[in-house]
Amino acid sequence: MPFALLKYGLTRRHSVPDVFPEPGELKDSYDIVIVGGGGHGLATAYYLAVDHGITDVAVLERGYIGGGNTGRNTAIIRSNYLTPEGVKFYDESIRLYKDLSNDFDMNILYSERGHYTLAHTDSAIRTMRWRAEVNKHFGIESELVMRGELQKMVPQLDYSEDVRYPILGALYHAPGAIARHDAVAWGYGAGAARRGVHIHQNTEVTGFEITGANGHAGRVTGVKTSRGTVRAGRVLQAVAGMSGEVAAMAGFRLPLKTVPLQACVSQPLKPFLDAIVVSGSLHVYVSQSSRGELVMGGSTDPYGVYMTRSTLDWKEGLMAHMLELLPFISEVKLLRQWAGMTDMTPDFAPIMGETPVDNYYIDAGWGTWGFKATPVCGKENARMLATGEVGDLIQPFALQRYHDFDLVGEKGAASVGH
Amino acid sequence: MKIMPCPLNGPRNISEFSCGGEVEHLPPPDCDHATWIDYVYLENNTRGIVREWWYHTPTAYWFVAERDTRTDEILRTWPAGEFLAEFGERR
Amino acid sequence: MTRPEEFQRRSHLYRVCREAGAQWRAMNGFGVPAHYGDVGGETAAAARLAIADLTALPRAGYKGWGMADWIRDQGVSLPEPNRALRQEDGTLACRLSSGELLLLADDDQAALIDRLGHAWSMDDAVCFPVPRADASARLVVTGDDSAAMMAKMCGVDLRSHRFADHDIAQTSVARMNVIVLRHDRGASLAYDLIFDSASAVYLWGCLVDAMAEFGGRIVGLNAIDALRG
Repeated sequence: MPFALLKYGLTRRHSVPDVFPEPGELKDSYDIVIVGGGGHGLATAYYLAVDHGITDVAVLERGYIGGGNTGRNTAIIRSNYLTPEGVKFYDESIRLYKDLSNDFDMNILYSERGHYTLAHTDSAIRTMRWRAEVNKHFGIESELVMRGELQKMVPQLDYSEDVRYPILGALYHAPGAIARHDAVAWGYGAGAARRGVHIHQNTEVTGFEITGANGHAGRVTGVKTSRGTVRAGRVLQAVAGMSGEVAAMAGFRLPLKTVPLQACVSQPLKPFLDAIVVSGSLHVYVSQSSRGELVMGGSTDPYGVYMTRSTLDWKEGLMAHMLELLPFISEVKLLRQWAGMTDMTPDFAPIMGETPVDNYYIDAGWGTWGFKATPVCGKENARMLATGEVGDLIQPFALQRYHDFDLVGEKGAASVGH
Repeated sequence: MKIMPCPLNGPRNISEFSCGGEVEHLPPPDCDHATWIDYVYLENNTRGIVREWWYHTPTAYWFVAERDTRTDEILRTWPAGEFLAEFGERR
Repeated sequence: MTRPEEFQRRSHLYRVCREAGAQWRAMNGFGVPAHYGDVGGETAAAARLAIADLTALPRAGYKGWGMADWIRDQGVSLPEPNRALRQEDGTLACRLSSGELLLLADDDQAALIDRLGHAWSMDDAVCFPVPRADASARLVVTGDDSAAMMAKMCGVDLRSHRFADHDIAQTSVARMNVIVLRHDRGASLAYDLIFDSASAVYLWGCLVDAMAEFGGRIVGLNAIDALRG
């Protein structure tokens, strides 16, 4: 092996691995068409092939793989949610994540760090205790730790008492992890492509062919794209910030607002922060990547735009809050900035499953919490597309819940108050 | 910082404002369930030119702004009274 | 020596002023800082850069669709929104919007404010009193450097050639909602800040911090009165 490496190092021509073999022309027809080549769409294609042996599948992506929200989040994975529905769902996702590097034969740099959600007020302590109890009931490692103990576990933070938001304690979630987010999309995409799924990049969906729409929403039979129309047995839309636009093409409306979420990284530093630290009151979440960069995010933009621009005032606000937690990084420079378009639901829970259009399924409303759910969404979407039945794990997230006033209130467990 | 031209206070940093959502008409109290759900939860989430309620926090002042959500440009603003007089009957 | 606790009314800032060495006098039922032991120095500082607590001065607010009609009936001259207009008795009528007025007195002779308080009744036009006396605090920033200092805390351009005497900006100062009124004292530039009294100690601290760079001082009402001449 060392000789092979040496030989490779001395070669002038390096072959580029063909991760996503170009599938060529769009076929006239696919059993399943997945709109959106992000993590959720590719994971769905992967599990269709792996779990169900279905490979007559097309993934249609307007841009390129890894260019959307999958590569724009802050890569945090956790399952310490508030509602039983949420806890069970995200816990299954963590279980899948742990095996992904082996499944893909590709290192996604999954790194368990411990996740600390800081409490700065008595009422936050109460919510943390509530979350810890719900979590423990479902067998998830989740503890409320008070200030003294926390100071030993995460000594890097400023524990002064005469500050705006003194740290009273934290919800500690040992399995909280980070991963290399674009590798997750590549791994799923490559695994699906290797098994025969067609991944069409630079292919924009422009409409749907829907029959029998007389009086009701009808049934989808085909997908119109910038490269021609394909017939489809079943269709899944998984397009994050563009969910409202794509659903409108299919003829229905969603309870979503598209809002940018900005993030940034610092210059690389020596490793000093092993924990993932979140403060809802300060609107901050931060971890240190394996490259040494501080990966930082905060609240969503205060109003909706369909843009991925970054703004100075957002960064000024985030940095002011970062310095309240870690005052000694004031001389550190920012290295990169970016934004993704999130699709926010009123109850901070996703929308999954059936839609008013027959054979047309949805995976949306992933707002600011979609990356951690990638594997379980893929698994559940695949089962749904293969069998036509909606699994128990995702049943609570049906679009129908709004019609029934049966919301899934996860706002209290969003990492920061958006 | 992005500047919002407030009809009362003139050009101001957008951080002084809150967005109140797209201008909609309240359905009549005896409307059917689907209409009510539509009003309460469903969004146009417009990608393009949209008219929205905005609120200037220091003055507790509501007004209407027209903006392009593709480009983050603010095209026009109206005092609430003028807007309702001009468009009040239509959606 | 007079102590602030001897007075029935005190500003939210009286402890802060006491620690800064205030000497007290009575005004409008309040104990107010007359000076901090250096009248001459304070008066000179007020022309360069100084802050003072004016919370004790009388004020009142009226709001509603019928405000303009009712207030004109009472003989008050109304300016345009976001402008202030001095009335015959010296009271400043600050128009906050087409339907809202804030009245500020510069000394404890508040004839107009008292008269309106007695004249108002529930049966009048759609116009209601806004609780301004205790719910709001009032500070003043005076002197040549005051515009430069305010630029550190406020996004609105308050420089004297852009923001005229008696202009009003209802905006964010040190991340708080504040009514900023340019209200020169004699030949000296001055900005009055009216805001939620519960945050008076916070904003005072921000102002003290911001003016340190320019060598600003905390002064008593005597120095402000001296500027008015």
